[in-house]
Amino acid sequence: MEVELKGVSNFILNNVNLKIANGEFFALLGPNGAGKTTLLNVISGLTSYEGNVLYDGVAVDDVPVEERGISYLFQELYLFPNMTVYENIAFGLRNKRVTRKEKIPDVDGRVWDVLRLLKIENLRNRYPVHLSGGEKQRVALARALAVRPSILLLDEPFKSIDEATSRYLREEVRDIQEKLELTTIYVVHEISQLEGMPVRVAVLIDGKIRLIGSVQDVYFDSQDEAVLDFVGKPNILRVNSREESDSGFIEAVWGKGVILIPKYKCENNSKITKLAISPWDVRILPLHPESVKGLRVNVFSGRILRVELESAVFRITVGIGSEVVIANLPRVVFERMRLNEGNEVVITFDMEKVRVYQ
Amino acid sequence: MNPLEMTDGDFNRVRTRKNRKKREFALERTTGKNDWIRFLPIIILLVVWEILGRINITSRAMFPPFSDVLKEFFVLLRNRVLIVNFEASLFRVIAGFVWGSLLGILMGIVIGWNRFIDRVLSPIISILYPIPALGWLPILMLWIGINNMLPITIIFICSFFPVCYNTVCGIKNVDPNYVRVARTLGASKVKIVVRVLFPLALPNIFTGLRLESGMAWRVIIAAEMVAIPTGIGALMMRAESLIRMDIIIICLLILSVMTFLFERGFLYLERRVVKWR
Repeated sequence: MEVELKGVSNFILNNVNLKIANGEFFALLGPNGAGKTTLLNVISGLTSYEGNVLYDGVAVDDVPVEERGISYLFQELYLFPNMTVYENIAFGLRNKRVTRKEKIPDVDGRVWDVLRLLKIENLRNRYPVHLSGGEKQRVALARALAVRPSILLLDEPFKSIDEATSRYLREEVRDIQEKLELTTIYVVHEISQLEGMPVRVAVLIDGKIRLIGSVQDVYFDSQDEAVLDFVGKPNILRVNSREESDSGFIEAVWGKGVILIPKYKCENNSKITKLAISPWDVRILPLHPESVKGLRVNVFSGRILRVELESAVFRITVGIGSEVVIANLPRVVFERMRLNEGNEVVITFDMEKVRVYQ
Repeated sequence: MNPLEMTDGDFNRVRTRKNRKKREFALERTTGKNDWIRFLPIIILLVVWEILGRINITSRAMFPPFSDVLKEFFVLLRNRVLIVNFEASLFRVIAGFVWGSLLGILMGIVIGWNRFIDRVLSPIISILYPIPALGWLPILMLWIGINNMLPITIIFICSFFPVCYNTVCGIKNVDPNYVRVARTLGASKVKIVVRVLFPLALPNIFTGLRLESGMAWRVIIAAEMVAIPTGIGALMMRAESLIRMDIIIICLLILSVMTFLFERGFLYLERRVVKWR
C-alpha cells in the first residue's frame, strides 16, 4: 500500500510531506526527540494531527487505528505478558474480521505459518517472561506479521539487543519484507543501523524532514547543517581503487596506503569512490612514523597542521601527503598525549565506522 | 545450548531443573534440619500458658490453661454451639465479601478505564473510602434493622471500597502502550478490557482481595460483638457476660485461623491465576 503524508503538523511535526511507495522499505532517521515515533503514530492514527494521511490515495484521517490495516512494532515490543507466544500471535487474528460478521478462518494455521516463518515454533507455549531479548523481538515481529498488514511500522524494535543479533534481525526483516512486498517504515536513530541497506531514508530533525535520499546521500551529499551536525560532519576520503582481499575485506587505496573495509558494508561489486569517517572515529597514535614504517593497511603517518579547541573538544587537523583528515579528541585525552602543531603522528581508522560511497 | 534452538521439551527440562533446585532450596529452608525451630516458639508459648494457668497466678476462670481451652473446644463442637455460630459468621463473611469484591472489581474496572466515570465517581469514593466499615453500623442498624443483612452489608462495604480502589490502581498502572498495541491489532474496547487490562491488573486486585479477606473476619467479629445476636463475635460477648475466658480464647483463635486461611487461600489462588509472572 502506498502511504502519503500531506502537510502533516502537530505538537512536534512541522509540515511533513512524504510519499512512500507500495512495497517499499523506507527508513526514518533522526536524533532522539525529533518526532520519528510521533510520525509513526500519525500514520497509524494513534495521535491527532493537521493535514492529511493517504493510503493508496485515499484519506484515512477519520479511520480509527483498528481499521487502518497496519501493524506497529513498538520500541519496547509490549508482548502481552499474560499470554503465551501462541496467544500473543493469535490475538490480532482473532480480532480481525473478513467481513463485518465473519471472523478469520483457520487462525491456528496462520499462527503456525508465522511461527515457521520466524523459526520460533519451539517458543509457542512460553510466556514472554521466559524469552530472551532476541526471542521477544521475533515474537513481536511474528505478531505484527500474522495479521497480514498493509503497512508495517517498526519503531526501533531492535534497539535494546546486542549489535550482532540486531543486524541479523534487521536483515531478516528485510528478507521477509521483500518476500511479502510489504510497505515498511523503519525508524532508527543511528545511521549505522542502515549500513548496507539500499533503502530510501528521510532525515527528521526537530519535527521537520531535512532530507530524503539514500544512506549515501545522507553521508556524502547533504548540505543541511542540521543533518551534518546529526551525522557528524565526516571526513570524506576519495579512494582510487578497490580490490577484494583473501580475508574477505575490501581494500580501498587512499593516498599511499590502504583502508580495509568489511565486505558487508559494500552493497554490490561496483567501484568505491568515496569513504566517510567521522572525526570521532579517527584515532591519533602518538608514535613516530618510523615505528610504523612498512605498514600499509589502515595506518597513515602525517603531521599536525592545526589544533583548535571547541568547547571541551580538541579538533586536530592532520596533513597526510596531499590529503587532510580531521580528528576529534576529548580535552583530557589531548592533554595526556601532549600534542602540538607540527608534531609527526600516526593515524588509524576504526574499520567498523568507515562509510562507503559507491 | 542455544536458547533459539531449544525445543519445548528442552525448555521444560531446564525449567524443571531450575524449579527443582528452587524447591530443594525451599525445602531446605522449610523442612530441613531447622524445621522444628519454626514451631518451637508456639510450643514454648503453649507450655508457658499451661504452666501459668495451672499455678493459679490469678483464678483459673480468668486465665485457664491451654488444656482447659482445648477441652472446652471439643465440648462446644459436640454440642454444636461453635458450629452454629461459626456457620453464621462464615456465611456472612462469604456473602458480603463475594458481593463486595465482585462489585468492587467491576466498578474499579469501569473507573479505571473510563475517564469520565473516573472524574464523576472518584471524588465520591475518596470521601467514602476512609470511613471505617464499623462506622456505618449505626446508620445501617436504623436503615436495615438487626437481621442477617446488617453484617452482610457491613462486610460488603468493608470489601467494596478497598477492592475497588486496588482495581482502579491496577488498571491505571497498566502501561497505556499495551492498549495501543491491542488497538493496532484490531481489538475492541471490551476485548482490551477483558484480555489485556483486567489480566494485567490482577496482581493489584489480588493484593486487595487478600488483605480484605482477612479484614472481613476482623470486622464481622466486631460487628457481631456490637449488634448481632449470633456468630462468633456474639458467642464471645455471651462468654464475656458469663466470665467464660476459655470460650473467648477459642473464638479469638478461630478468628486468627480463619484470617490466616483466607489470606493464604488468596495467595495460593493468585499464584495459580497469575502464573505468567
